Amino acid sequence: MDTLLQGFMQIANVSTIVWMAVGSIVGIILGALPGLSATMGIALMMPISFQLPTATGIGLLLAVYCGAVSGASIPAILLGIPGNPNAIATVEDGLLMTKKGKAGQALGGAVVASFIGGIGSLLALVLFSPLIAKLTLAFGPAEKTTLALVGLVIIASVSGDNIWKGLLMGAFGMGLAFLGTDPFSNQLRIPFSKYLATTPLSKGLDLTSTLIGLFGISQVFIELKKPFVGSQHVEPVKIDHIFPPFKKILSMWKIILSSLGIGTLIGAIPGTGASIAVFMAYNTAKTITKNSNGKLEELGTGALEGVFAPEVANNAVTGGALIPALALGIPGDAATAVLIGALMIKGVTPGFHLFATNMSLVYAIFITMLIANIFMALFQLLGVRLYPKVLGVPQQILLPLILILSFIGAYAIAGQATAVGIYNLGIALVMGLIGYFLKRDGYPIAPIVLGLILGGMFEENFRRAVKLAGGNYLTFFTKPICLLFIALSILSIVLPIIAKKRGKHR
Amino acid sequence: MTLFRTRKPLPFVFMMVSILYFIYVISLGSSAMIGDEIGGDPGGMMLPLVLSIFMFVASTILFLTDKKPQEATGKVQGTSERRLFLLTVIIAILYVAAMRPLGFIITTALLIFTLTFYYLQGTVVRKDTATWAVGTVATLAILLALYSIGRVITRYLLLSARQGRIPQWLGSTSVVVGVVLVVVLALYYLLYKLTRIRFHHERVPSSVSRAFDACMISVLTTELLYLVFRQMFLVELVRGLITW
Repeated sequence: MDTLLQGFMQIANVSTIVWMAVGSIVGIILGALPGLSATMGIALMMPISFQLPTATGIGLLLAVYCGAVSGASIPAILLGIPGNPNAIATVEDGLLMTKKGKAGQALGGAVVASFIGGIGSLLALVLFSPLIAKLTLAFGPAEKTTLALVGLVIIASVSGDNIWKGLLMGAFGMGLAFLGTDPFSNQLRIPFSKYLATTPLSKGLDLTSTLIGLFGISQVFIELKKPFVGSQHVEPVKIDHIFPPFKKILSMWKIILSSLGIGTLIGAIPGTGASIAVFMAYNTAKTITKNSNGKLEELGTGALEGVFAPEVANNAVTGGALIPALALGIPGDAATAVLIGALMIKGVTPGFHLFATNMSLVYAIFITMLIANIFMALFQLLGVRLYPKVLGVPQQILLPLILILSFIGAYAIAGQATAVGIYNLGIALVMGLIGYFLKRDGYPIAPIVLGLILGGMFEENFRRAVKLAGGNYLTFFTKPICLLFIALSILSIVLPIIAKKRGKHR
Repeated sequence: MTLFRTRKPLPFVFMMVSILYFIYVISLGSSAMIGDEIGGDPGGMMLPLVLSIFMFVASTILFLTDKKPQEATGKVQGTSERRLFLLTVIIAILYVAAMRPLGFIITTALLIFTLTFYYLQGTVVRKDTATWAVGTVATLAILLALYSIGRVITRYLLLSARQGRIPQWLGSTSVVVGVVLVVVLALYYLLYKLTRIRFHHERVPSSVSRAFDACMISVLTTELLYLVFRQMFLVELVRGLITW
């Protein structure tokens, strides 16, 4: 009880509330703007969170995360263009509802659904993450090595259309993580060490600048590849009757529960992400409505059910993805990978150690997640008539602003050290260009982030495990937990290949 | 050569990177853990070596299997988009290179103005250079005026509070930032209101009107970024030419 109170005290201040409100609004706006993702929003806000106390900073990032996931439904409903992949499945029924003159109910319904999804998955996070973290008590260096491996392999194998691209990106990320100094001997491991030994690069790549480059700057370059879309023309639509009838929400309880379960579970599996969850939830809802004997409207006809199912699921992913992130240090998706990066910059390492030594911070994170969901619902409902206007901001104005925010973010993380700040600018720019070429050719970025975050953990535990086993590499095959993780790693590579081959045959 | 024409270049780049990485790791030599006299530590070379081999295998597979699509992807990007892309890359490189000598305020304002202006124009052509130059000067002049007013207010409040001429709380960071923000925004709004009609697109050529928009966006963004990161978060932004 004391730790809960301590956790509450960490965030019971005006600064936290104000920054979370800002984060929520920024998140909704970023989510609403097509092409800008939750991950990019979190990466751009990282430098600000770095300047704030840990709990407040994490609260800000969680508010951006929840806001961006939910905000993506606005253009999906009004224009038929999802703000980001999280809202792909909302398009069909959302747009049809707008065409039927029910835009208000669709937008309001999406907010209510997102809130239910967020709160439901938060409950799962509160219940399961301490238990899973406790399980890691049985983990020694060998188990931690294979855990890092499984996290890396799963995300590499399921992100993108080509498994080799994912694996190559994971390895590339690990290679970047190895730059700097050897953790055990302090030997320099950077090319041109004669010249770079006295630069900030001798400590390795700055994580924040790398993430900002990969997600922020590269996106600006990608958007420049296409002709400017200018301001999105939103037909003037009547937005009224925002709250869906309570009776209607109650009648959808089966859809809500199934979407909540799917979203939380999919979110908790590393690498899967919301875009898979929303389609699964939508398809399940289709079956439920078909078997409802006319009590529920059929999906694909402009039904509120078709907005509810994906919106509950995508926000349920937020809590689900945080379960392995907080308990094991293995992120559920790219956005939580960046969140873990933010925690690590603050000196907080997720996993059992966090739960054992800093439970008050864990409680603070849970409470900020609750506030983030409340703010998301509040600000999206309050601004339901205003956010469509955000879609009118032309890309020509938006892109320079994203570029400069990315630069200032990378610079500001250095605080008082201007020389380090300028190096960070260079890292962000180089990583932005690398990210651009990779994205252009369809290479997934998430495995690079995973490699960067898990690379250090993998190397340290690998060497420790082999050292403890007296140089015996087979030690990883003698422990049941390791064998389980190795089997999972192999399965996560083999299963997508088999599924792809089966798909081709069909 | 046919192989190179039908394959994407990135896997080949990664093949080269992995070979260079392999050679580099070998040249570094292995480093054992401090206190590893008994042995058992695989050494610092082990994982980077395995990684470079894996990267080579993966990139070779991709090089052989990931073919270019039939239609040339380059055709999707028009001349205007290509020029804007190049301009952005060049301006971004210049921004990083010029940050130290010119300082945060000048480089940031120039980056935002230049990119917003040319993006609004939709392309980069020589005939816009004069408008761009005048816009740049105007942006810097307005920004420096607003920045200087903000600095004067900041110094006055901080000094007066320290000397006890005004209550202590008036010299706190949040109050100073708040006061500067209100004054700067009020002046900006006034300036915008007074000049907006003069630069309306029906009265002046569209490029001038766009330069005006880009100028106002650049001034406001730079000033807000300065207030948030320098005055609120105390980040040491490079002063460069602006020493006051």
